[in-house]
Amino acid sequence: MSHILIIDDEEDARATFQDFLEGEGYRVTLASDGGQGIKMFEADRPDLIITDLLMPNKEGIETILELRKKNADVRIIAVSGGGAMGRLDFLDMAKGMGADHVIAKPVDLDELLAAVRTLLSAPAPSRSDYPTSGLR
Amino acid sequence: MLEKTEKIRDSLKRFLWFNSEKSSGPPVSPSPAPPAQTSGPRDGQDDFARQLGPILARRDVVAAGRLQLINLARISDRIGGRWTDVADKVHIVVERILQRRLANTDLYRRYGEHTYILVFGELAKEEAEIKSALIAKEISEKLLGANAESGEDGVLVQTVVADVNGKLAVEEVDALNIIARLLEQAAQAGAAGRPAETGPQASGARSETDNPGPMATGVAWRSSPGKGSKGGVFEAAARRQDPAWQAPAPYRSRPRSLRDEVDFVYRPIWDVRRSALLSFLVIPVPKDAMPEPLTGGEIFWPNPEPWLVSELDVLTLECARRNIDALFRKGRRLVLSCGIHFETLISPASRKTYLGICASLAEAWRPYIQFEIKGVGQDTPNSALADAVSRIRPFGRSVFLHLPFDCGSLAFVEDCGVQAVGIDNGNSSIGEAEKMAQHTFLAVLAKAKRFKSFAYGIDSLSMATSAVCAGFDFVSGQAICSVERTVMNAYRFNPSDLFMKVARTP
Repeated sequence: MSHILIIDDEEDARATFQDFLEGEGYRVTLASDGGQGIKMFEADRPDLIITDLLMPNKEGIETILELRKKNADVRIIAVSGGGAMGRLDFLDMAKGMGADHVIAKPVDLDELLAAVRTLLSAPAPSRSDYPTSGLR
Repeated sequence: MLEKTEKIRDSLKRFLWFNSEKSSGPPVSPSPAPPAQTSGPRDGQDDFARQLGPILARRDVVAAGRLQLINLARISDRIGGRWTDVADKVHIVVERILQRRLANTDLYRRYGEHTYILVFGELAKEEAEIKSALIAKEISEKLLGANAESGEDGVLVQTVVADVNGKLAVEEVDALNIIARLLEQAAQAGAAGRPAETGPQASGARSETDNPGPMATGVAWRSSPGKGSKGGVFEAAARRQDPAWQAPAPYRSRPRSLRDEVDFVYRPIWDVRRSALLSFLVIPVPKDAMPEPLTGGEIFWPNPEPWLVSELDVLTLECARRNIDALFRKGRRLVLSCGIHFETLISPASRKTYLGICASLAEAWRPYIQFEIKGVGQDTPNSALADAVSRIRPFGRSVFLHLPFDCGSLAFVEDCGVQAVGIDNGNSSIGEAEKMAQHTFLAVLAKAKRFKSFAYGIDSLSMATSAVCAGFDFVSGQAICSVERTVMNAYRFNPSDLFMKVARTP
């Protein structure tokens, strides 16, 4: 059974993702911010991580960068409100800095499931040097 | 809207190519066979443009201070009428030195009669200035003799910088001072029995050249100019003549105790919409303190006396005035933002002193001064706030208002003349989640009331992301950019820059 770690500061979002993904047969663990998520990743080594971007204490892109330094092969899906916030597109930046897939909130659960299945069935990508883009 | 970087690039291209086509100077003189390590203008303007293109595309050479000018005008003046006879030989000498001293990644091109444009592909500003100063010294010695020095009567070194509007200006490099410091370091290194560190990698060289003179801090401003520095003499003379330097008599006669205890640092403010660091907060700090954790006068003393607060406001404005003056003399235009406490503006005595200094600001400087009113509560009468704003507004570019962190309404700010409202996160001890919620609330509220908004004291990437996503127009704090001892140039700054430090940390 594949193991998915969900990192999101919104309790409702965590509960929704957990119910949905457990219903699809995945084992799900939860973290409420990036710092806790990194600790849980080191302890449990999940197969896939779904992380929000805008979080207190340690936000999503910083979390992705640290996760990539610890394990270049773990699959990561970044989720964030609206995609473009203000004039910025933090989701694009997240993809440039190591997320395998990005999804804007409100999340279409079918899209999320399709992304999870695709990433978990794909062979581990060969990555040696993150971030590959997004930084000048 | 054209991005600032593009503006600077366009300006740079015009400066380098279009203007040069109008130059009345002689054509580029034939160069001797170049050594392999030099990339000069040997194939003419097209070749220079072709080589410069990738450097411009890769980095902002102006913002990074990599564009330097070597100016021979003073040598030409010194030679007088014989210059036309010897000019070709002089240029051959100069080009030989450039070809020998510049690296593969550097470019140069002669511009007009007396100027060489040097583009350093890899060096930081202070490194480029040191290298240019050494080149200038070598040229001066070659042309004028072994005892000649660059600077006063010899070869002039200038850095091309961008001002707040993206226009190009030149800033004179104090080559004499740089070389004197290098020699001093070499002597010290020799005395310590280790090789001299002549490169800018030596931390001492970096900090010294970052802080080249009286523009740096209140302390440096008052200190005597270093060896070879002319700035102090010229500026002192200018101050005597400039009415803007005539501070009100009551303040001049005050005891200098607080003045002697306070130093100033500068924190860049990120203009999120324009993707640039264009203005600087002037932050008072206690002398001998590590400035990094400090965010301003509020924590300067736990419970400051009113007269101390007013005194601090006056010192801050005076510091900004000195810097604006120094920046103007260097042809640079950057906005400095000065905190002023509301109580300074409502007390007749302190208000008179402060406004007296405001009135002494030269008209030309006022577009580069910004006021930030602090210490206002939601119960402040709108009329009192409007009166306070109206008194300082004529003397600056804009007035920002610091709100109490838990501010729930902007009714007391409406129609009182401020351009932006915002908060300083450094003054609140609540957790990040609560701060983020307040960010969103305040940014939306400010936008609804048609105010620009700012969030200062941003000390983590989470808070930076939160502030930008909430829609604040101006963001500042340790997570964005650390404090500087000197007012620096304008810089391009994008959201991805926030994460560069994390990405690069092994």
